[in-house]
Amino acid sequence: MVSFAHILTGLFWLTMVVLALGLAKRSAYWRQGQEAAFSWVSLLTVPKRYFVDLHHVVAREPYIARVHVATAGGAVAVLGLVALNYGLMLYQTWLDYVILFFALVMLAGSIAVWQRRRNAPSRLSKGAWSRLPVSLIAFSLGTAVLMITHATASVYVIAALAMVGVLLGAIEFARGIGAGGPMKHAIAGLLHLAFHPRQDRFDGKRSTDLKPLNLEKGEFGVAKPSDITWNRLLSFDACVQCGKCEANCPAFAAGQPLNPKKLIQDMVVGMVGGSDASFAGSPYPGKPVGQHSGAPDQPIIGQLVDADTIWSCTTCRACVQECPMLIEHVDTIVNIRRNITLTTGDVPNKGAEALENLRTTDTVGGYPVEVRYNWSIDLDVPVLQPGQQTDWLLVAGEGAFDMRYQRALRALVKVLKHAGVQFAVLGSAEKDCGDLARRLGDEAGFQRLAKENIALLKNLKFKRIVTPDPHVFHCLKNEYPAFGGEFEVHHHSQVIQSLMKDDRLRLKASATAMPDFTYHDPCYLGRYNGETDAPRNVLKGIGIKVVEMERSGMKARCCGWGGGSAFTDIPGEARISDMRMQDVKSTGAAKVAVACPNCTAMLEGVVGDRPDVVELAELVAERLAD
Amino acid sequence: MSNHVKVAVLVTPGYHPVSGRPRPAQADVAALGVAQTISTSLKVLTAGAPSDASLDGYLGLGASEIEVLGDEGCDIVDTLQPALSGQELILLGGRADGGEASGLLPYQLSAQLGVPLVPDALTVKLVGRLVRVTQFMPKGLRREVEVSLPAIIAVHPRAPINVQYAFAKARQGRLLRSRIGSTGKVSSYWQYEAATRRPLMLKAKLKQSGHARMLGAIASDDGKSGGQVVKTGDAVAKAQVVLDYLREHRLIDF
Repeated sequence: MVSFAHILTGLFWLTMVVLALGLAKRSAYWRQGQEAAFSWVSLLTVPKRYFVDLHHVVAREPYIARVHVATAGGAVAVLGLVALNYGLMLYQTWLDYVILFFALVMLAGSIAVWQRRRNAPSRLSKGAWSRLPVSLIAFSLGTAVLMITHATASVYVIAALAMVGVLLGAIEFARGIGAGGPMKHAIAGLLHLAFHPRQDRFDGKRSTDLKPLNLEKGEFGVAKPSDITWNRLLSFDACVQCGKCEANCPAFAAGQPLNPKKLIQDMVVGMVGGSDASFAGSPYPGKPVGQHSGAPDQPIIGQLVDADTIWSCTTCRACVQECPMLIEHVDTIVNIRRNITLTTGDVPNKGAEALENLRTTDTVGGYPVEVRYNWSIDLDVPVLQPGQQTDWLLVAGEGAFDMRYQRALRALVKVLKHAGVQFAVLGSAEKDCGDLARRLGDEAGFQRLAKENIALLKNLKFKRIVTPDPHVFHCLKNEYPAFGGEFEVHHHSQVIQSLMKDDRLRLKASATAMPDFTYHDPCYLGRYNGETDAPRNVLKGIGIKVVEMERSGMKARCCGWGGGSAFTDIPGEARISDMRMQDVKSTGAAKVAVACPNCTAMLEGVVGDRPDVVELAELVAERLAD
Repeated sequence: MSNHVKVAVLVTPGYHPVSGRPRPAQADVAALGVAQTISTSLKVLTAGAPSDASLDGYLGLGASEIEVLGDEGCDIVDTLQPALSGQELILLGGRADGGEASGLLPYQLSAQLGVPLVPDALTVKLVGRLVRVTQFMPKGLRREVEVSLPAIIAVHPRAPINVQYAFAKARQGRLLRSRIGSTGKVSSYWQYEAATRRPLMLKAKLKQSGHARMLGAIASDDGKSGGQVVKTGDAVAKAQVVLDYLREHRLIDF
């Protein structure tokens, strides 16, 4: 007579067959995408990436991390040991006890998952995901019961019930992969770690630069799901719908029609074909689910995703920063934008005008480049000429045309002069760096500006570049190297920090106590470049106590300018800058220090009673002893 | 959208007023945009020796082919006339950024081709063999006129259009150069001189911070400052409040 042990053996191998078939089906979806460079060897890196890189992200929520360790760790151990004991038909009793132990660990984890789901935060998806804890409990409990009875079962009813539980869990796991159930994240997630589109993220680099398009070859971004590279399609399948991206997305919070989690799920819908009706999480604000559908060879925009969703993103990377599966949402958004901008030019609101200005005047605002340094006329700032040499090249950026920011620039010049720094500016030769063009998808415009700027800079003799604009900083530092422009670029907060460290700034003895300040981290300095200390050290150096906002540093909320959002201006229920000012107010700080011309403009634009907005360099300049 | 009417668009090189860089002339961009609402297959023409950089803009706005007629210094009207003789509807910007394309060209073409001209067009609609044109007039006034084909329509730069530059379109578009039609007659009787501008002193009327002035100007719920926030009532009632405000400040009903 066939014992339960033999049934378990059969079930195990059946599970493996279903799993293999499911994986084949899923990978057929991924292969609809475009080719991408990869190597099979990177499969070997998965353990390190899983236990280190991914763990660092998950461990930010210690409770969930522990629950996942128990559940997933237990499940993997149970499966491995069942494979050994029952798959290979060893039927060792002592192994049963080991399996029992891990089944109980998994059961504990599964019950914790179930507990959390009972009072689930709104960011979690319901639907199939609500079923998951039940399947997990059924599987672990069933396995535990079978192991206690050594799968020989004196009481057939109990053993049969346990077997049903195991079967439920096995179906969830094995079928889940092919059918796109929640458990597809287990396999897709591991493969995604191996074939991640940004491999240098695992080499300790931030890898926040956008990758160039080959315009000569007619690469115009992503129009339909099959235009996406296969490893990015794979990355969409890795999503666990935990909604951390949603909880941190400033556009979502402002009620703009964007939810990064829904976007990734829409990409899965586009890859598989069908409608978004089965999506069980928060929708795009103001857009009911079930009215969009897609297919691999159908356009994304208009059918699957509305254009205003794509234009709502501020490219602040909060979603990428928070994603435990290391998915690159911003890349997908920019790739879709690139197709819209390059093939139809359909950029909303002032976005199109800004791109037109960049094309015709090399400035975002359509200003004459000759007046960029008018604010420095009385400051005697040298303009770097070919043949001359300087230590520092000051690049002011578009902020130089803004009367508010000119005050900050003048303060910066005062600080640099005070410290005896040898510096010069580009004068009328300075063009926009192309950051805005690139985020708005105008890759052609960006590449023209980048190449022209690199040619200009290579012709000049300077050692390092300093800029007070984090967008210029990121662009020159991280995005120009792809076009052959390798420069040493510093943000002015870093330069002031090192001047302080070298005791080159003589400060006034403070007469009055400084009011409490809070500091707003610009996304392109913090999340894009990991620089959160320098501005704080500068503030500390001049005796300012920083009261931290709840969302600061790498978790800071965007000011709402980035990614061209100030230009495309997609309406929501609130404005991101107002929400950020609310963050500032809730600290009780009297003033907010900023270190970006765009954050300055956005926060200054908040109306009503609010704390003052002061630029870092202004604060330092005020305290200089002269 | 009817495709059986032969529509031609005349374009000219323009210059950006700030940077002086070549770009499409804004009125011609409007003409191209209006033409795209009438027909999908347009014959786009230019005469003289425009730079590629200035025509690239028109390609990017959706002109798939631009025929470049004549040569440096040719007589524009003489050059264009044979190419336009078979066209039923000719659209062009009423005023370009400079040179012979400005001002007189629509009238000269109208006279030479013996075809009626409708200047300052904002919208153009084909109704059978009739063209219905909304004309721009000062102080926000509009006038509807009808003209039968063939006709020349000079488009006003403020015509509402929905065309935007796209890199891919500019790359796909082609410039067709032909020497035909060049009479060699040079008519450069233009004189150029630099515009003079007196510097204006900027003076703030009030010594208040920008933030304080903003607070004074904007509406808030407490009704203390600036304006009034209307949150109740239907759209008509809300519109009435706006209308009353505009009347009160004599911004409408001259």
